[in-house]
Amino acid sequence: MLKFILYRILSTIPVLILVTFAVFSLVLLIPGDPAVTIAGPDATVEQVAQVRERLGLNRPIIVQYWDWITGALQGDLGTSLFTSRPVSTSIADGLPVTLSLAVMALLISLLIALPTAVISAVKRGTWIDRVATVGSSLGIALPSFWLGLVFVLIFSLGLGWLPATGYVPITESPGQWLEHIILPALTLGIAGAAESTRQLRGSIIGVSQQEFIRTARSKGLREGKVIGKHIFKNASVPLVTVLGLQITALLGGAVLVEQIFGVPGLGQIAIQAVTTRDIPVIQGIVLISVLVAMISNLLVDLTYGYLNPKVRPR
Amino acid sequence: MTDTQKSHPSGEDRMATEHLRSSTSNEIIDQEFMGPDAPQASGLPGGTTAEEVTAAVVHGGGVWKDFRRRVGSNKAAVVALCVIGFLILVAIIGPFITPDDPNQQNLRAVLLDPFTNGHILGTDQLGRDILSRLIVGTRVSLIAIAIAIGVSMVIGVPIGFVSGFLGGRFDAVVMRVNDALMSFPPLLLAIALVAVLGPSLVNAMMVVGLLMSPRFVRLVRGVVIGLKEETYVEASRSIGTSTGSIIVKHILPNTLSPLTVAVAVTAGYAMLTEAGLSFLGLGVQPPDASWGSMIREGFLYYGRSPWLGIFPGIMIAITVFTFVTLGDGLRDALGREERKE
Amino acid sequence: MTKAVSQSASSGAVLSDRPTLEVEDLFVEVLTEKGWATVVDGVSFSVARGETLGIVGESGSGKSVTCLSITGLMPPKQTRVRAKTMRLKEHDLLSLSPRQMADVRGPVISMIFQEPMSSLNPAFTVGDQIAEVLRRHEGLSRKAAKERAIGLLARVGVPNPARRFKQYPYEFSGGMRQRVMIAIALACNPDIIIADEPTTALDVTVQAQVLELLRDIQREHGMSIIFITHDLGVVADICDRVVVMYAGQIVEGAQLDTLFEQPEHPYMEGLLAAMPRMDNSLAELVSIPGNPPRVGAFPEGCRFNPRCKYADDRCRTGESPVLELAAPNHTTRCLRHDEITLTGTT
Repeated sequence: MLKFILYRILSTIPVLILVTFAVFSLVLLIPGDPAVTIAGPDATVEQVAQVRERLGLNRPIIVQYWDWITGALQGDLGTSLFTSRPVSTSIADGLPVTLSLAVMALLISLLIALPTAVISAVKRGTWIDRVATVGSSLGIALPSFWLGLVFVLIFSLGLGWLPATGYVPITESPGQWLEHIILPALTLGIAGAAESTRQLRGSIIGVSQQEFIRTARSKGLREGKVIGKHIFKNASVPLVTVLGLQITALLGGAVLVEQIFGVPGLGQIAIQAVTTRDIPVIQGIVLISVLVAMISNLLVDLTYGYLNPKVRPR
Repeated sequence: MTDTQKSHPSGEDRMATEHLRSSTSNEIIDQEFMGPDAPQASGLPGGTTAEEVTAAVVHGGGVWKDFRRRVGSNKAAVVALCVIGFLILVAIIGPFITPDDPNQQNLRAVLLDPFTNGHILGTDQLGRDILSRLIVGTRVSLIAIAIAIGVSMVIGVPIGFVSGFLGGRFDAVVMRVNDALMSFPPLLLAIALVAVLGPSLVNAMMVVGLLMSPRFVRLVRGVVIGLKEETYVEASRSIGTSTGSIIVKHILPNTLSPLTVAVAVTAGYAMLTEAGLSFLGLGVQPPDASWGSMIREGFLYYGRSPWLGIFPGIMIAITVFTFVTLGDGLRDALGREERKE
Repeated sequence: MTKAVSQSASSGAVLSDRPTLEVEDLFVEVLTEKGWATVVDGVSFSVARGETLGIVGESGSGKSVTCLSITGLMPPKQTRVRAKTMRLKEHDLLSLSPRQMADVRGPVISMIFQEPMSSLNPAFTVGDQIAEVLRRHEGLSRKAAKERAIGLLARVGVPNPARRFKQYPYEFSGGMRQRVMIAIALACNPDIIIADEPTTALDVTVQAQVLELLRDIQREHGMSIIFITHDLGVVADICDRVVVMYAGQIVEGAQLDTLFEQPEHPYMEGLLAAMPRMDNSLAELVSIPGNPPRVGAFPEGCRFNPRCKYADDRCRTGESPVLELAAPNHTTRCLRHDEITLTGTT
């Protein structure tokens, strides 16, 4: 197993280099002279030169990349052009918030998807299945930020059960944290739940038609065991893929949801940076989320090793 | 069991993954894990596995006829196509049939509730008629989808073709880049890119198109690789048919089915991404409106006039739902019968 | 050995000379795209204790459906099963609930399937898949089940059983997997094993070994076997008695030797003629012309008539002929069996 893990880690390195270079190259995409753009329309020639100097824009791109990436490895992602705070500090503030939101959303989506998919697959062709299928298509179709608005209208403004906006760190008050996180997490989790339900239902149906399932039944195993053990372990392979993908999608979706619920996570920082074209901050956030995505992909692959014994190295 | 009916799972599971990404895990999951003749729902992610390829072998002529017959036989797909046809019609003639001028402000009649003063869906914060703005927004939203799909196909299809055709090192490099591109969180990267390029609808949708192109690369590459090994293609090559003619005669017709499904699925996601970007103010710029940007405006007034944001959201949901249903229907229609043959 | 079967609808003492399995007038309908279609049409047979019954037929003749229906393994929503009698030892299979049926599968009746590659779950170890039957039906502890499973692996001729116990199916060859399947079927000492083409997917040499193993086990435990196959060579090798199925019906039934030497149905004659023989290599290999009819599209009259060289007008009209006695213990569904002389093998 260790060899397998090591191999997987090593094989992500080329992708990592490619990805980090792409992230860094964002700055090159700025039309015209990036220094002029960043310095703003009213900047004097000196100010532009200053910006260029500060960002090292006058050096070859490879050198700039090298500086940036070696800095990043030491936890130095540069400084914000506007707040002059180190980018890594901002990220350290926002990342835990976004991650806790994403984890909650993932949990909620699993809580919805697992039972729905299993029931829907077992009762295939019945009205329950049809409702679940249409429901999951709808879950995909509803824009998450819009759903967030509707939730706020219903649960905060209408019923007054939960706060509409704001955030309390879990370390401060777990109860209040939950109160504040539940609506954003639900909003974010529903699309994921829909996606997982569709995926899992399909794979349960697919696996249940396999011959080894007939074998399991021929042994006289109880139906619960056939489904819970024999079908489920095989059917969860594609589910794991989807979960891995969802972590990536959640990071994006969090930007929108944080905006609606005023959650001070990476998304809010990103939007702020975007409106001010704060390139180092944007680069830093994209880098971090790509890293999170890659780590989750790595975990997914390792989980395959558990689910599919054939993948495991001998 | 030979003579019992095996019901076909619609394979919608594949839709769930096919647009997303693949990694080395795709190759890792051996076919045997699911059995040799696993139905489509075998859960091989990535969407370009052997089944998808072999499922679609069509020979030479009559492709369009066959295609129309199959799609026509699927009720869900036909209904979905009708809804999309209607939306396109609205997009084209919309500006001529709006009850009011969509950009006409009336500061004495702002944030009206539905069914007041002849405004069926009410007015927004500047007194503009919401129904009219929704109708006009249809065009913007559909154009946004078209741009995204156009861009991702223009990038993805040729690269997939060449990559599948040449194979070897070129293919390896392409797939590495593809994997890298797919490991980005799409919305976040779109936000970053749009921020750098400057917010505009065209920029936003080009970026979305770029981010979605890897799935077209994978799909087309998979079909090409599968077909390259088909006997009839080899036979055709051995009697001296030119590469170009092989592509036109054999390969293009066979990409039709999987591409149609992918386009339907991509359209749904493009719509959602456009809405998200416009909601953040990075897509369409005022005074133009897409449904996404209308939700953004509604967001500012949701306490006072929730309708403002709710109607455009419903439009988005209906459109995406239609595309998702179309994708499912097409997959059923185009995939199921092929297995039977 | 305690049989973990809770109850049974049929009452009374179990007579020792009663057949282990008795099936009378079994009809099975399955749901196709065009509606319900009868795939098993009035099948009756019985299996005595310790006997090996062969069910022979082409694919689609209904032989697998027959056995899957007996064991309650057909997909319930897409299948309708009815019969006059379906009795397995003291259990009236027609009146058992799915739960009670599951109690019977394993300790009373078990199955071996055709594809050893896909019949074992790839995600669990081979040992786990054997042990779970024991744990389910005999309530053994994990440890005891493991011990028994290793013993079973050794019994079915898997070398290195303790090590193999922990391995996954992909680490086994086809023949070894089929041995594992046999171990699973054997685990709770059933009264009858249904083997559905268990050797079809295997190499000839491996095939012989697996048949040998089945024979040995039968001798040892005295269980009955239903052996489903389309391979007459295998039938000749292992069966005591044979029923031949065609288009959902039994068309002939007799003791093995009688059937091979004096077939009473043209279909059986055709099958025998199509069998490759070592001693007769100069004779042309004859195959039966045409294809078996498709489910739901059976011809009028005798279902075999379009392919039969003896068919006359009577065979082409009316209901399909009834199964009648051609000789003691020898049934056939041929109207003309008295008029024609069929060739068998010697």
